[in-house]
Amino acid sequence: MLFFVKATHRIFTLLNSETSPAQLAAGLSLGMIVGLTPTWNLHNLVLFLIVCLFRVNFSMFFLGFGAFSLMSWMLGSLWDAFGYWLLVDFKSARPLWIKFASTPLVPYFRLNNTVVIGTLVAGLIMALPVYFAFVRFVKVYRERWREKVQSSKVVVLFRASKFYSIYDNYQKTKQKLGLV
Amino acid sequence: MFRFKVFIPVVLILGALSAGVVFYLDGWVKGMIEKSISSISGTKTDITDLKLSLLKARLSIRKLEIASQDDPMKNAVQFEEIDFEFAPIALLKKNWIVNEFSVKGIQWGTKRKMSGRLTESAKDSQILSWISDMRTQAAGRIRDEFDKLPLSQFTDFRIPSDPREVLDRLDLKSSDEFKSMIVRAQETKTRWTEKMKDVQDTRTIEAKFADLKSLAEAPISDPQDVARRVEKIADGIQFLNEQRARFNSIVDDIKKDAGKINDDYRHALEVLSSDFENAKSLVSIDQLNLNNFSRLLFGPELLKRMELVLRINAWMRQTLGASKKSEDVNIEKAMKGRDITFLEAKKSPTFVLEKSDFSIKGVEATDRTRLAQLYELKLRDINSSPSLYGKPSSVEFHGDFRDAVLNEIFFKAFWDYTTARSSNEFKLEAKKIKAEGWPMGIPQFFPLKISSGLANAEARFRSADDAIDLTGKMTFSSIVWNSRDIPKQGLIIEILQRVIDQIHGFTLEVELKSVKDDLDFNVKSDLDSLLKSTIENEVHKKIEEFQTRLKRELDNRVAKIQSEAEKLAGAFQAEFQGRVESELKKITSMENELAGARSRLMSGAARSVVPDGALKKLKKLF
Repeated sequence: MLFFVKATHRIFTLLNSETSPAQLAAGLSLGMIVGLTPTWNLHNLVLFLIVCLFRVNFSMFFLGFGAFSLMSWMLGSLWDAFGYWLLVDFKSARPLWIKFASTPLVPYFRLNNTVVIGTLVAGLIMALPVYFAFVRFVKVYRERWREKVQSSKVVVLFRASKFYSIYDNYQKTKQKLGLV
Repeated sequence: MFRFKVFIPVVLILGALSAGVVFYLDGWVKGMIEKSISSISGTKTDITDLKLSLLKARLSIRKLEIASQDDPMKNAVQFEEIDFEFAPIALLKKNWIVNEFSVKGIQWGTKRKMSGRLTESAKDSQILSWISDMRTQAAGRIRDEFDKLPLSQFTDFRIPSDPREVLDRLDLKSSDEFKSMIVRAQETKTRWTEKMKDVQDTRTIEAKFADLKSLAEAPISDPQDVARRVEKIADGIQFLNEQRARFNSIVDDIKKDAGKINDDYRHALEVLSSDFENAKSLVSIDQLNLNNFSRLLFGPELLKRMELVLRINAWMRQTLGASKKSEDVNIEKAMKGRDITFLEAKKSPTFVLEKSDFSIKGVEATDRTRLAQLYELKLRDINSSPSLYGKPSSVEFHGDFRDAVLNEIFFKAFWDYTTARSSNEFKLEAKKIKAEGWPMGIPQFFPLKISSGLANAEARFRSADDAIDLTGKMTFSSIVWNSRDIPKQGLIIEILQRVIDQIHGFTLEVELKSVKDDLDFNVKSDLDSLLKSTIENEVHKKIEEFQTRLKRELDNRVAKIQSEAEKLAGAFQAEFQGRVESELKKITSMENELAGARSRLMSGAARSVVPDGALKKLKKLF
């Protein structure tokens, strides 16, 4: 429950902050790719490096990672079927896979695995639309809805709730101790 | 856009990560090799030290120990040093091409510091299943057969010292049968005793006879009187004739009842004999299958060894075989999803050892000029992906040993996974294997061991896809058995132990073959007929002796009542039939006497008073 309160609070904090929408959207998109694909894979290390080296929002990256990991798990064997179609049945892409297989170091990315390629391609396809859609969403939210949402009954009730007060105390304590 | 601040920390973290990977890589590869070998051997595999140098492109394994299945404190085999030198550039493409390979110091049966038995959880996760689900199920059925063997029949089999022990367990029917036979016979006897009172009351007959006799003997007065008297006598004879018929019918009735009593007696005797048969069946070896003792004695252990071969085969199939969708794609199951290999991209497998012939000569520690061991190994076309490589692989191994666990071993293996239809052929010949502490027999019931002895073994395994054929022949000589752990229970176990103790050599043949969806497991031995005949002879002798005592005891139990029944059956007919027949004799004699008197009366009358004409008339009349 605390995790849910924390996540919701974090999302609103980010949306209400002055963080650039592009950084937030990049975090979400990259988190989505990492979340969809099997975690312990070499390409995720590369993506994590990108997140570290470029101005990508970490919080949004981890939120995206958590949410899309759950989605990936729920969709289960769909990724295997999609990956199999890409690798075996989709003949036009065959030269690309063959090139990957014979290029040094690339085989360690296990792109010949149905689940890895299925989730990675799905993640890459969705990355840009998710990026642009989220940028647009943040902008619209900040321009039109921020005030309304903040003064809405749901938010007021949420802020007045016991869970929120516990969380608030927890955050204040963390600030006092210099942990934030 | 770029986080310059984090650049150095990220580089440092990456460096630390890479160092960590390199540091832990050895341990990871070591664990992987140990786990893979354990999955085949079913026992612990330990590597003392493993060094993987990516820069030098070298993998060195020091002291690889594979624990023995029979003795967890011993190693089946131990390699002192195994070295691989591989092509580093190919490794970037995930190809492991071995340029050089060497093995030093192979030892068999060395002692272990720690037990080589896998924990149950490790076993479950590591041991590979049999060749396929279908075969695993079939193998399970064979194992079940051994688990459910009616061994208690053998172990519990004994001949009681007191026959009463057996008879008390039975619901004996013969005694009751004799009793009811006696009751029925007594009833019949009572009925006949009552009847005999009437039958024996012959006073009327005797009085009538006396009257007629005096009438016949009275002096003749006139022909009319003679004619009247003759007529009366004729009536009397008729009466006696009727009485004789009545008595004859009574004799028939007595015979019938006597027959019934005898039938009842005979039936009681049959019940007695069936009681004896039932008692006999309680102490008999007919229900025991003594035909294939070698299957019973050696089956479980042989099956365990055969499982090892099948596990190797399953591992090879899992590692080298791949399901093919088309000619240009290989599909293998991965932990998550499937791994697709494009054949046109990878013309060569990740690991290839095209040809390697080498031999190792071991000298004795005390005398370096004396050869202690000789190994010759020929490897051909060993590779990690036969379908890519396109050629079948083969291994030939020949070893000569002095003062080792075996004298000579020859192993030949050929496997072909180049096409979707896989085939394997293994052949093993081992001579003068020192059989020490070899477990045989049935654990718990008959835990027999070969304490010492020699064995020559030949085994051949062939598989083509799911079809398997595994045959083996072992010839044992100079065997000394260890039967100390065999529990002293039951007669058969005792005989078996005694017979086996006297056997110092035998041949054992085993076969595990796929038949449609099932597996056929056969064990044959020259011990079979010997064990069967010895057990049968010894047990039969004891059983026969016991049966004699059993019969005696059963006879004793019914003796009194049987003799009473026998007496009753014998006496009944004699008593009643005799009495009626004596009366019958009397009547017949009366009848004869009257007939004589009548004749005499008629001839007397003729001689004195009756004229010829009247006599003729009288003759006509009678």
